[in-house]
Amino acid sequence: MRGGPVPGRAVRAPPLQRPASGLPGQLPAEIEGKLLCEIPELSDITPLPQLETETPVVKILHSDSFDDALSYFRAIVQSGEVSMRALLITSYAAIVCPSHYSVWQYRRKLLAQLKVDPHREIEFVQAILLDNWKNYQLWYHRQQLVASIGGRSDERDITDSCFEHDAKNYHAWSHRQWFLRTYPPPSWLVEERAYCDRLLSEDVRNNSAWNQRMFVLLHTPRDHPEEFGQILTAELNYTLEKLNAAPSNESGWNYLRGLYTKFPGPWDAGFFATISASCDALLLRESQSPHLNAFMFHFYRDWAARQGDVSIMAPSVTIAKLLRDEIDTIRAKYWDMMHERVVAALAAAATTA
Amino acid sequence: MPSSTGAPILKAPLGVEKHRKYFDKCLLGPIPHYFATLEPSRMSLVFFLIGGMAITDSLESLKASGAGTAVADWIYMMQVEPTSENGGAAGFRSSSVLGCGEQISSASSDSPIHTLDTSHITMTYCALAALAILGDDFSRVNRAAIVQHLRSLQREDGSFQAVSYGPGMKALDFTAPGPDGQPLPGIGDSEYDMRFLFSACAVSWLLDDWSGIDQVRALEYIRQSYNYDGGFGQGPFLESHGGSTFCALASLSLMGKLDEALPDRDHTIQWLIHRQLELSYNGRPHKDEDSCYSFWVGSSIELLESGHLPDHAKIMTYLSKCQSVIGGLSSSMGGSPDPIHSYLGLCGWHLCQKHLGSAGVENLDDAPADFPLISIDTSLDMPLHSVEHMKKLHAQWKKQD
Repeated sequence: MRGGPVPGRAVRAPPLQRPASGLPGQLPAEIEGKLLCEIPELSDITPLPQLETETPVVKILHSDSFDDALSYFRAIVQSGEVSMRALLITSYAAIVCPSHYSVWQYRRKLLAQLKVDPHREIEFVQAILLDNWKNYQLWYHRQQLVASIGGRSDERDITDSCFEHDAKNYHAWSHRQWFLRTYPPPSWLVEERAYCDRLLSEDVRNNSAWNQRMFVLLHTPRDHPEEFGQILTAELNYTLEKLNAAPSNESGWNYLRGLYTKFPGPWDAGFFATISASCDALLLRESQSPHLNAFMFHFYRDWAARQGDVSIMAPSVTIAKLLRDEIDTIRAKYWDMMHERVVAALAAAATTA
Repeated sequence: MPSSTGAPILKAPLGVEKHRKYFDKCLLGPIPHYFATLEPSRMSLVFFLIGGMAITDSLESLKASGAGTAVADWIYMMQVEPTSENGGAAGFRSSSVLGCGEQISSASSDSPIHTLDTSHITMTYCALAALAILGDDFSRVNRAAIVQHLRSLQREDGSFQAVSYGPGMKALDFTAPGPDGQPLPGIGDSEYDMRFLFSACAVSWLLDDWSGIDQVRALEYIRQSYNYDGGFGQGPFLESHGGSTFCALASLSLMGKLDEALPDRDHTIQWLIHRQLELSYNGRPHKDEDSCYSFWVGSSIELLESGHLPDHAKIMTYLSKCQSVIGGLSSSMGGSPDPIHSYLGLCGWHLCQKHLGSAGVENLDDAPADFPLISIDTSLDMPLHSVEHMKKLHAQWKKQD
């Protein structure tokens, strides 16, 4: 279960319940389990089967329920029927084939014409999402619904629920970012940073959470450079602390490097000393960590470039050799190339000097 | 068996024949019901299977049996012709899932093609790629209309949406304006991200006409999707991912902008090369390996001219273990095969084999060592000889103009 409370916003991730029947186009209890062709109220509709050529290509053997739902869907599309029973048919089609973008588009058309309350449709989406967390079309439909009510649905809740099962779900992170960018709730920056912290305290290797932390930082106002500098310093310390606890974490090192390459910040001599001292201290107990060493290799090069002083990258020569020959041999060719580059840069500098 | 393209064939401890049969069996179908949700992207399966037959050097026998023509005819039946009702949509649909009206059966001539039954940008790419691999002359492709339609798919931010519906099928009245009263970014007819930007670039390349894309905006979208760790996300601020990084790099490559528009080549190489774990590539840090990344990541590395850097023997060993006894590859060891992972995995295999050479392959355990060496174009995900075929067509089109 999740750890401590998040300041400012309670993370509400209750186990999602399947909504009761009676929602728009939701399956009423009395027809649940029935095929559309078994429902008397639809008996005047002639279902249109899927047409295939004599030699179909990659024909899919569909289940009875798939053929049933799609045949009725084709029929109402052709007739242009606008009714609650047409909406019910799209429910069937969406359930058997949630990836069908045109089913959703047609459904949105019906929802608009029938003036269905989008809040109720959001509940319907929720029910299907439970079995389809990785479905592009469903999240897109949800996005349209949330937009139709002017963002008056805190979409952090549904994504919280998703992250309970899969904290790296790309669709959910994408949806969450869309919501936060389009309808930023008050004080979301503080809350979101705390939320990322919470996810990282559960799994410090959750790259999606690190990326979200960067998303927060990139949206943090920079009108007051001094204030922003303090935030960056806090981020730096936070990251070093996380890396100190788990040094072989590619995500953390990427984030650290991102901090000083993406932002003009308080990256002075003191910063350089802080990083190199932290890394040196870590090396005493984690000398064989590929990710720690890889970071140090790049850090010395980055710093040398920034200071215009090639000699700063001298330690990178030994580090590249260590990575190539002993601790990251899967990337031996890469480190060999990098080793050659550093050696060449140092030699060129020595010649000109 | 000698290769019909003259490519050298290696010895055969674990047969490529099984994979040929798998591709053939799926293409001519039917395939099981658990592929049902792929019906709206069935054209992509056609592409993966035709591509699979090409790289296992079995396309000639398909063509000899007459099935090649049948497949091409089927693809053309899925072509969408522009009308005022469908908003000028052109390109290809996924399948006959919404009808296709009289094109398929005269019995259904009372069911005209509905405006909802429209083209999808990735299905258009897959259809054109499959036709190219089949050696089709593109004479039945409505090139001008497809290029024209691309314009209605590009969004303000430079990305592409997958589908655009005609005026009668818009759901605009459904969506409220944004907080500032302006139409919301992101609200259109369908999803939008780097995958569709790549599809648009691939279509433009195949049709040798870039007038359907505003490249300045497309490049800006790619630039905005470049992340602090050197990879690319599906859109701005989104996490770096092997698939979207491929789409971004391949788009830049097809536009001829890889050198000028890639923000930090070394950083991207660093991110990509770290996707290799003990077994194979993953798509994001701390995620599991998957056979499809042998292509998405492998070809991205290739596009940055660093194809010699990965540990190819490890990747090939992993791919060998993803082979199914019934032919085809699965996403990971011990899973069921599917057309997507079969094609992408074998494309990844070819990228590795190119660098490792036949001697290197022979030393691997369980490796199928009788694969024909058919080169892959890394940005179009197609056999190189099909790309050459397209270049010849492009030259002919230029002459005709």
